Amino acid sequence: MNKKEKVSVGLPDNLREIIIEIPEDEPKPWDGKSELNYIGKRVKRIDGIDKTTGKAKYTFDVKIPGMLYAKFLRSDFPAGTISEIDLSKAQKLKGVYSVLPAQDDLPLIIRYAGQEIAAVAAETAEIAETALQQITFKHTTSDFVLSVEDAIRENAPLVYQTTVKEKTTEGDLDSSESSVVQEGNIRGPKIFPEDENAEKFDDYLRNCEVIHTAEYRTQVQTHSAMETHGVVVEWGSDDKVKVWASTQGTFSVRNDIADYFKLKYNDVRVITEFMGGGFGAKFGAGLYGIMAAKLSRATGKPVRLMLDRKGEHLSVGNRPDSLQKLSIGTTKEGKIKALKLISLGTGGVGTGAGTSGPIKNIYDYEKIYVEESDVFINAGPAAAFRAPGHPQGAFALEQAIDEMAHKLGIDPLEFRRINTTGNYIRQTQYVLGAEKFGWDKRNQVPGSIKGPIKRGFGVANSVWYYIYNKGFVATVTINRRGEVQVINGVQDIGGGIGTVLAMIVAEELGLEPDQITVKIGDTDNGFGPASGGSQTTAGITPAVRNAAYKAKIRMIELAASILGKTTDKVTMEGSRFSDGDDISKSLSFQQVAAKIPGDEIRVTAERRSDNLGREEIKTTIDGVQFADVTVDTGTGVVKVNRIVAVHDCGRPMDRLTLESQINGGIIQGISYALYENRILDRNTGIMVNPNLEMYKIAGARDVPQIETIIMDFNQAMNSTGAMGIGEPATIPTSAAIANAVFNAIGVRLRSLPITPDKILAALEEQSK
Amino acid sequence: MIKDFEYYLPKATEQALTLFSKNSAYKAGGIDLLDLLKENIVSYDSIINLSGIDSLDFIDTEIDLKIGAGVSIQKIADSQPIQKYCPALSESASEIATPHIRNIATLGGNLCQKPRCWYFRSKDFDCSRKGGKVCFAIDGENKYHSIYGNQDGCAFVNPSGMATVLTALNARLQILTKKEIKTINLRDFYYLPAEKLTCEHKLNDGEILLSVTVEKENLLRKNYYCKIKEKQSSDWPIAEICIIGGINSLGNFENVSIVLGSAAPIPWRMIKEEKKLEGLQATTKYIGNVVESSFSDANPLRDNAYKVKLFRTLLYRGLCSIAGLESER
Amino acid sequence: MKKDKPDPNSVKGISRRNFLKGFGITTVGAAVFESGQATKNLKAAGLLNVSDSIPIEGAKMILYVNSKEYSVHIKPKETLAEVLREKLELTGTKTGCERGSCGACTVLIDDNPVNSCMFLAVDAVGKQITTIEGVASDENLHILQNEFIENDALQCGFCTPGMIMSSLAIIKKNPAPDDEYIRKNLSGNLCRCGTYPKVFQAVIKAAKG
Ligand SMILES: Cc1cc2nc3c(=O)[nH]c(=O)nc-3n(C[C@H](O)[C@H](O)[C@H](O)COP(=O)(O)OP(=O)(O)OC[C@H]3O[C@@H](n4cnc5c(N)ncnc54)[C@H](O)[C@@H]3O)c2cc1C
Ligand code: FES
Ligand code: FES
Repeated sequence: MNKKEKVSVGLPDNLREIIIEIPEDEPKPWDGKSELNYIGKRVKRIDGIDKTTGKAKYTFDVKIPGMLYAKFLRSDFPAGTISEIDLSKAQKLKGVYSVLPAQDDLPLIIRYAGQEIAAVAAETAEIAETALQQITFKHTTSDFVLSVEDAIRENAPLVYQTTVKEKTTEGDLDSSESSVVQEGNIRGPKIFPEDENAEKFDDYLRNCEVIHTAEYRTQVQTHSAMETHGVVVEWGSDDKVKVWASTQGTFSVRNDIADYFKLKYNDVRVITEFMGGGFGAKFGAGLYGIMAAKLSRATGKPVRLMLDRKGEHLSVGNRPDSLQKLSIGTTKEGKIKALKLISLGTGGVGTGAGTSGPIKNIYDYEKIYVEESDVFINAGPAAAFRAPGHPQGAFALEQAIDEMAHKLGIDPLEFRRINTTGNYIRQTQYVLGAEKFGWDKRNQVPGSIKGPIKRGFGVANSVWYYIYNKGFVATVTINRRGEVQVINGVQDIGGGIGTVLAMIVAEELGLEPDQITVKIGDTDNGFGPASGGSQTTAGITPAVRNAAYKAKIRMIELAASILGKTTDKVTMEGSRFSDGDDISKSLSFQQVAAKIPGDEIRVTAERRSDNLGREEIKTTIDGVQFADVTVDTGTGVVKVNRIVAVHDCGRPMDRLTLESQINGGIIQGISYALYENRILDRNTGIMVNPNLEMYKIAGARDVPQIETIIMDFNQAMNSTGAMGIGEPATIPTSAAIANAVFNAIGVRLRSLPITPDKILAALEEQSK
Repeated sequence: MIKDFEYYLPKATEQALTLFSKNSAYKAGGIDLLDLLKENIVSYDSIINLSGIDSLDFIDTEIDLKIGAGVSIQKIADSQPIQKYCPALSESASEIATPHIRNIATLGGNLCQKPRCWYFRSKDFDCSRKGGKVCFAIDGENKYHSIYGNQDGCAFVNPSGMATVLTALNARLQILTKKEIKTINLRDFYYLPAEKLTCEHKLNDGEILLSVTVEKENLLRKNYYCKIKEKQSSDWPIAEICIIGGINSLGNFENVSIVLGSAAPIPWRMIKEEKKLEGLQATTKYIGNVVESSFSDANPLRDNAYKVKLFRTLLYRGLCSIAGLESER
Repeated sequence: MKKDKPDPNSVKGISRRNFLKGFGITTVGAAVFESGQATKNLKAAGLLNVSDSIPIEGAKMILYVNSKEYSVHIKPKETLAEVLREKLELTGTKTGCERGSCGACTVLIDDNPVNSCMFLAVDAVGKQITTIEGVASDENLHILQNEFIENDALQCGFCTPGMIMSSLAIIKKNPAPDDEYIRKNLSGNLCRCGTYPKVFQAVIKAAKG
């Protein structure tokens, strides 16, 4: 049964009313006119004390009696075949409990340096390490390829002899791929639109009045979460398995382990109380999870398998690189007619190198043509990484847009404006951002500033999507003492979802957030979303609000019976229940709770599909960032002075943690733009910087002044109106910086990272 | 994983000397040593910790500037006399690694640390400096490698930020051997790969670096120091320069010494340029001329030719700064 | 003992014999004592002078951590991070790189921030060690911890203990740190979640008190 509600939607200063239809047992969605106590305000994290006192226990810290320490032996060659492994010597070492090959049957094909060969579980980490050195194997090596260019050459050594199926995780965007072909090391192309004819399109492009074409490159970036991947697995004698995992998807770990070992889902419990960052790489059990489980089963003891920093860089994910050829065709006036992208990229032995999100979804165009392919090389597998494909895509597209604007003699922001006219969110963002940033003060002629130190401004757009899954189940309990709990399996990867859940329940019940006990991070707590695709908040918050609402209704019913009234006569002010006819008769939350029959009220509610019976919901999440940089043309060093970021994220929940998410995305974007690069030795295929010293990550002195403008965009499409922000903020940063560098020095840097050597080379090229 | 070792904490240098045996190592802050031990590049039966020896921890400015080998890098950065007499040294110290490392790392350890080349530092590469057959850098990933002295089977760059400055200051090292206290000029301390491939300096096994002295006449001269890093928080230099010198009453360069860091396996002196500058009028034009003609003898590898451009800028800026001129580059 | 080694007993000031005397009673694991008690116990066992020479197998020693004395068996090669986490179960101190590059393992030694992953535990004997567990006093959070929470200077929280230790050293040394001072002194702490701007705010506010 549905009910109809009138809600106000849109931006705060431009709300309109619409009628929506929602299920009977759900509250009227929070909308543009809702006045709320906590939601949208700055609320401290509920686990702040644990995290600032060292009490917070991460998987890395779990220690249980009898626990063994496991380690991997990894290949130090990038391609070959292992035909025999001798584990016996390692097994005989005192303190070694079990040694297992990474793959049950031989031969084991090695496809990258760093691939797992075997794992040891021993009394101490030290014994495990010693045991690894005792493992011997027979192998042959074979030729390998380390770059996209090499891999697509004719007769290039093949990374796979067989066809590879794309493995997607919760962190990836849905990829409907029926007919992707694999030839040589190339898997693809995927063509968009599927029925587009390349030659016809090229004719169309050629006939545009102004055309820009250029090639853009991005590097491989590793996730480098501060806590490495890992698990502690306790395989009980009753075949019940308990797993502590540093994961962003407790349920995905449970499913992987249960599926692999043919166990009941109900017999596998995954716990993630605290976890030290994931950024997309921590879905599923991974080989480390499976091996730890095997070792625990074999030894009857709990096994801890945490990767070291080197293993982390090599084997558990990265952002694929890209080589993108991009063309734009416009009219003389600057209306975009045609967009074309040919994109190659490598996720090493993995897939997921597509970059077409931005080009398809930001600008208005008449015609588009995209070909994107994954290229296999002998390097560690890619994994979803904060907005998969989008920073790469935006780096190319947003620079190309800038180049086109320059070619047309149109202000880059104006060019963006006239090509996104249908998107009122963007139009507003441009105005807000430009004003805050001082866009009008930018250097009108790129490179024209005198002297060696040059300053420049740049801008870039981002796009992400409103994605959510359904079926999450939240539980809210109120007991006779008036204690309130919210329970769900979702894990907090640093975004602060636990705090948001407390805020929602507090808001609904008129309580304060710190009165709410939050139980999350445990698959026994009810199905919760994986934290990927910026869908955690949009996924779980409606379920939690719906559950809190149901609990509230039960409390009102109870209050009504105490007051001897019908429920429609009971009003709720804060957490007090009053007789609508006689306000002086009122009951506190505690007074009502004390009358709960039995022990507690326990209600669950589900995340259903978004509201019915209304016009279409806007499903892109838009953003724009402005960058102010200084380039030292004598040394090539780029310094980012300031970033102004304007983002939409639906209805903001906790503004404090939201800001932190945006800061984080921007800082990762800066790091990607200027420093990070996985470097494989071209002769051996071994990564030369698998550490945090030469794999360079932005630190305290590299961070600019960051100002954020968060748009409160209400669509009232679900009970909380939340969308997402985790990914969007990292998408446009590198492009904005690159555009600012151009504005400063008048030379284009079309390749990431923008390091001093590249700046110096580009300046030299220009002066020739 | 570190191989087990015995540990000694002598209170005096003589004790340390006696404790040293065949497979021992001295440890000062241990930052470099632990790195190498953890990576299994080295292993020792015994480690002799020098940090209990008070006599290595002093800064003396009475006549010359004398700094004990056990002084922490942070102390050097914070020392007021050093800030006054040779600012380049304190600037260099304050930009080394991280505050945490500077608190522990010592002058002696900084000067004696092993190459930071990523092939040398990885167990996966049996490189020439570790006794293997090839230098992987020469045909490999050599963006951060040397542009001088790289034609003899090894292309690392001297990692010591202290050495760059102290070489320019023509410092001397006091070294305790079993027989005597000997003095070596820092300018003669390091080996080029052509001289020795698996050993970087002249400190023999068991000898103890006591102190580093900068003579009075080299103090209070004009100083220029610049470290260029890709990333501003804790990064190794991609280029480093120290210029110590003066301008005489005629406005001419006098007694200039120029040393490049991250350019060669040793702190790289620009002797030719020093000579050209002697007596040269300090104008931007003449400085420009010297800079233009410099670096023709460099031998950049595939990925590090940018360093030449970078060093040109640093040389130009440094000389302008010494001359009190505004740099146009 | 190997032949080619000098006999340390012959060296003035090295009390190897003293050390060996008590060697038999070392045990694995740690015991915590009220201040002063451990010293007495170990003195009674003739163990207090061990620090000048320690054999491969290690020995029982006293660490002063967060104003408590811990008697703990330490091998020479063990790092302070290892001993804190594994033997004293003070797991607030994290490690992220094991090489001095990330600062997750930052602890204070006599008020100076150091990387406990690059610091031998034996070298910490006799020094005042402060870890994240020792920042709050009893029930009260330190002002820095409060400011970290108020300003949301933490996300996943894995770098936070190290970040707080470095920040603590900052405000202990400099009552009015400016932005540049803070950045410079935090440049040994990496945060992959990107909390830096809020950490700067928290430190400035905490310094103001
Ligand atoms: C992340 C990171 C970044 C870094 N960045 C920089 C940088 O930018 N610039 C820079 O210059 N350095 C940098 N370093 C290197 C660091 O400065 C050195 O490792 C440190 O200075 C070594 O000093 P130590 O006292 O710890 O040496 P130790 O490790 O104790 O000793 C190093 C070597 O010197 C020998 N030794 C030390 N003292 C004596 C003595 N008195 N007599 C005889 N032998 C002695 C030891 O036997 C050992 O072989 C960095 C290091 C790290 C880990
Ligand atoms: S773990 Fe010690 S600095 Fe990274
Ligand atoms: S808060 Fe996650 S690494 Fe800093």
